[in-house]
Amino acid sequence: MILSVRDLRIRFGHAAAAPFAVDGLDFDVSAGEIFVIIGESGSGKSLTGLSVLGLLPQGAVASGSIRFDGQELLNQPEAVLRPLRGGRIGVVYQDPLSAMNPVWPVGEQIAEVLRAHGLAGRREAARRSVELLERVHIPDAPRIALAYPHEISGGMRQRAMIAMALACGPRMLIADEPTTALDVTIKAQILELLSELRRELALTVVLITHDMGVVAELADRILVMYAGKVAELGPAAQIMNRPSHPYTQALLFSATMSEAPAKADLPAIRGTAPPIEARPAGCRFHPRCPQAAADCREAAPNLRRLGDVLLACHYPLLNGDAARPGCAP
Amino acid sequence: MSGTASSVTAHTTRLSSTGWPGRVLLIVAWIIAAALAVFALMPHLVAPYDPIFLDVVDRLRAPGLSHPFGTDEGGRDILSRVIYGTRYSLGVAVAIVIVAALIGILYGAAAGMSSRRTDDLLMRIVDLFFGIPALVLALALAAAIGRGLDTVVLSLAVVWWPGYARLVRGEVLRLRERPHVEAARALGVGTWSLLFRHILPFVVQPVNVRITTDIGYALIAVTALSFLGLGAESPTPEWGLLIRDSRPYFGSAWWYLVFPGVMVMVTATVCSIIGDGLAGSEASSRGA
Amino acid sequence: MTAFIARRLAWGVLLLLLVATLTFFLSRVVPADPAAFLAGQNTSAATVARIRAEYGLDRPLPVQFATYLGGLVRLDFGESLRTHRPVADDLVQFLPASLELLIVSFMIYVIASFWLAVAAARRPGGAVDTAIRLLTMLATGIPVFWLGMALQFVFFYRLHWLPLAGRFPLRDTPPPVHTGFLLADSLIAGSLDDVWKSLRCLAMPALTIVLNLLAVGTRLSRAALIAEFDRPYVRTARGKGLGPRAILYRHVLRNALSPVLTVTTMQFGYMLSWVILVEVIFGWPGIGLYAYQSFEVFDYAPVIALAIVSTAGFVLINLIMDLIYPLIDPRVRGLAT
Repeated sequence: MILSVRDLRIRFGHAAAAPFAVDGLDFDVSAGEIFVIIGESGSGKSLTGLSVLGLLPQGAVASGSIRFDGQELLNQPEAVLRPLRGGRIGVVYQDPLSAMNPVWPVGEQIAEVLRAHGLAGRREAARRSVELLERVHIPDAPRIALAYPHEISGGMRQRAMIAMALACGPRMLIADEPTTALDVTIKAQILELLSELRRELALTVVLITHDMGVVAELADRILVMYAGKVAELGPAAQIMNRPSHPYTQALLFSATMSEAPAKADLPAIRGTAPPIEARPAGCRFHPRCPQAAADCREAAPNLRRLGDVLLACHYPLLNGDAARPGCAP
Repeated sequence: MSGTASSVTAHTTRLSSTGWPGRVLLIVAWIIAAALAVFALMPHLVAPYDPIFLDVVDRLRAPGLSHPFGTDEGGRDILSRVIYGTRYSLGVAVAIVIVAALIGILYGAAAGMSSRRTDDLLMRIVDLFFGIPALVLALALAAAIGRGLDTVVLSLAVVWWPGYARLVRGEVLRLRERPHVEAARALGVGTWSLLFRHILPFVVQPVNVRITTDIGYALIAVTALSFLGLGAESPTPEWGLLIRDSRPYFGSAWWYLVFPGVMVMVTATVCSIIGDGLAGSEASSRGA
Repeated sequence: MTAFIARRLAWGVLLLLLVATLTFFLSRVVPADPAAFLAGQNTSAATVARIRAEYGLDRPLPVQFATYLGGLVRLDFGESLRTHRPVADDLVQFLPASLELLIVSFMIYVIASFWLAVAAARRPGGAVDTAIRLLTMLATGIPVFWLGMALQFVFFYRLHWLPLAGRFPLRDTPPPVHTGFLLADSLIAGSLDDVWKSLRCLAMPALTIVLNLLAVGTRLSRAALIAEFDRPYVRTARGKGLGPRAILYRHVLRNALSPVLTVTTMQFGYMLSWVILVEVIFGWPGIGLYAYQSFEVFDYAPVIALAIVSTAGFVLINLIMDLIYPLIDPRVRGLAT
C-alpha cells in the first residue's frame, strides 16, 4: 500500500454541528495502480485529494489518518509536507489556465519546482524543464518553455502542468479533474499520456473525476463517492460492467447518454446531489434512488463486502440488472 | 474623486458580515444620522446659543460648563456653531450628490438604452470626466463662476455625476436582459415606459447605496472648498469655514480646530458605515 | 505599440480640451458680464470697457475660444494680475517645489502602502489585518486640511519638533538654485545641514499627504492582495512545495502588481487635487499655493492654468502607467501592441 486513508473526515469549522463534507472515508491505493475517485460535485472527492498534501482551503478541518509510504500526512506541519509536495507526490489540477501563474513563462514554472526542492540550479533547472516538456510530448519544447500560459493551447497547458508535477520524479500523481476543461480529443490524449507515464515511470495515479467516460479505459480500481461517503469501491472491470450500487449505475448511464444521442425515456439521475447542510436521513442517496425502500429512508447502509466489491447499499443490484439498466422502475 | 473607492473594493469585507460588532456600529451610525438630521432641520431646538451673536468678553474660552466646545475669537459658542453648521455642510453635500445622481441617472439610462455605438461614445465621454483632478477643476470653476455655496454645488456636481452614469448604465444593461423586461418588450411596451416602469425602479437601490456613501466624500470635498475660501463666507457657521477661521488661533485654542473637524469626520464615517450596511442588505436581497 | 501610445495621447489631448472648454465656457457664459467680473468690485465703467477690449471680450464667443485655445497650445496661460508676469513663467518658478513634495510623498506612500497591505494580507482577519482595516476606515473620514493642522498642532505648537510652515527656514539662506529641488540643491552645494533643514520643513506636509493617501490606498491594495491569494495558481504553487515567502513574493505580489498599480494611479490623480490644500496649510511655495494666493485676490488665470497643468500631469502619469502594465502582465502585452 502506497497510500492508506483511514476514517478521513473533513468539515468546515470546528462547530460540533458542522456537517462533514467528507464523512469517514477508508481506502488504500497500491503502488503502480491508477485509482479513480468518482462522484458528482459536492461528493467530497476533490477535498479528499487535496487533503493528502494538506492543500485544503482555509477553514477546512480534517481528522483521521492518511499514510503515504507509511508516513502520516494528515495535519502535519508545513515543514513535513513541503518536501513531499511536488517532490514525492505531484499534483495536476483542473483548468490549467487559472492553475498556472499568468505572469511566468511555462518553463520557468516547471524549473521553479526543481529549484524549490534543491534538485537543480537556475541553469540546470531551465534545461531540465525543456526535457520535461519533451517528456510529455510537447513539440517545439524550447519555444513553449518560454511561452506564457495564455499563449499556448489548453491541451499544451495541461501537458505542461503534468510536466510540472513530474519534475522531481514523484512516486504518486494526484490528478484533480485533469480533463474537465478540455474538449473530447484532447481529453483522450491527456488520458493516454497519464496511462503511458504510469507504465513507463511506475507511477501511482490517483485520478479524481466526475466523468465515468474518463475512467473507462484507464482505471484499475474505482472509488465511487456520494455525499461524502463511499458508495462503492472495487476493481474497475467489475464496477464498470456490473455495478452493484444504483448510484454507480446511474453514473454509468449518464456517461453513455452523453456520448450516444440521448433517448428521451432513459432515466438519468433524478434531481441533484443534496447540499451538504441538507442531507437526508438514512441512505443519503434514497431520494434519488429508483429502488429506495422504507428502510433506505431510515437507516444508513453500512459498508459491506460483496465479492471483490465494498458496497454501501441495502438493496444492491443483482448482476442481471446492470445489463439492462433501463428496466429500473 | 467619485470613482476612487468603488472599483477595487469587491474584496473588502462588509461590516455586516462581522457579526454583532458590525451591527452595533450600524445602529450607532443610524442614531448619529438621526441626530444630524435634527441638527440640520431644527438647529434652534438643540443649540444652546445663537451661532452668529458676538460676545467679545467670552472670546477663545476653553471648553467648560457654559460652553462645552469652547468659544471662538468672537466669543461665539462653538457647539452652537457646529450644530448650525450641519445645515450648510451636510446640506450642500447632500445637494451635490443628489444633483450628480440625477444627471448620472438620466445620462446612464440614456446610454444603457441606446444602441451600442451611441452607448460607446457616451461612456467614453464619461471616462474622460474621470480623468479630471476634481478639486482643482472645482477651484477653476469657482474662479470662473464666482464664489458661494451654489458654486460649490455646481462645480462638485460636474465632477461627481460620471460615477452615477457608469453605475446606472451598468444596471440598465443588466436589467435589460431580465425576463420581465424582455417579456414587457415582447408585449410591445415602448422604450420610455420600459425604462421608467420596468428598469429604473430596480436601479433605485444601488443608487441609494452609492448616494449614502458619497455624501461622506462630498462632505469632505465641500469643507475643503470652503476651507480654501470659495464656498461659504463668514460668519456662516459652515464646518470647513470654521476650520479655516481657526487657523490663526488653533495653536492656543485646540478646541476651535478639533470640534468642527470631529463633526466632519463623524459625519463622513457615519455615511460610509450606513452605506456599507445598505450595500450589505442590497447584496443579500439580490441573493448574492 | 505606437498606435497604442498615439491613442492614449489622443485621449490626453481630449481630456485637456475638455477641461479647457469647461473652464472657458463657464467663465464666459455664466457671469452676466465677464469683463465686470474680471475687473472686480468697485471699478469704473471705463475700466470695465478697457478690460473688455484688452481681453477681447467684445469679440464673438467662438473667436474668443479659438484665441484662448491658440494661447494654450503655445503654453500661453495669460498674465497674472497679481505678479504682473506671464502665468507660464510663474508656473515654471513654482513647479519644482510642488514636484519635490509630490515625489517624496508619493515614494513614501508607495512603499508604506505596499508593506501595510502585505502585512494585512498575510493573515486576513488576523490582528494586524483588523487593526489596519479599522484605522483605514476611520482615517478615510479625516479631511486632509484638518489632518495637516492637527499635525501642526502636535509637532509645532506642542512638541516644537518641526517648523510650522515654509520650505526652508526664513532666517537662513537656501542653497544656490540648480534644479529647483531643495534636497538636490542642498546635496549639490554639499551642505548636509541644508539637507537636514529642508527635510525638517518637508516632514509635515509629506506626512500629511502620505497619511491621507494611505487611508484609501492601503484598503484597496489589501483587497487586491487578498483577492490574489484566493486564485487557483496559489494552490498550485503550494502543491509544488514552495514556502510562504516564495508564494508571496514570486507569485502573489507579482500578480497583484497590476491592480495595485491601478490603485496607485488613481491615488495620484487624487493627490494632484489635494496637494493644493497641503501647500496652503504649510505655506509650501508650489503652484498650488501660487494659484490659491492668486484666487484670494480675484486673479483667476493662474487657477485655470493650474487646472490644465494638473490634468496634463495626470495624463502623463496615466500614460506612464499604461506603458508599465505590459511589462508586469504578459497578458496585456498582446493587447497593447
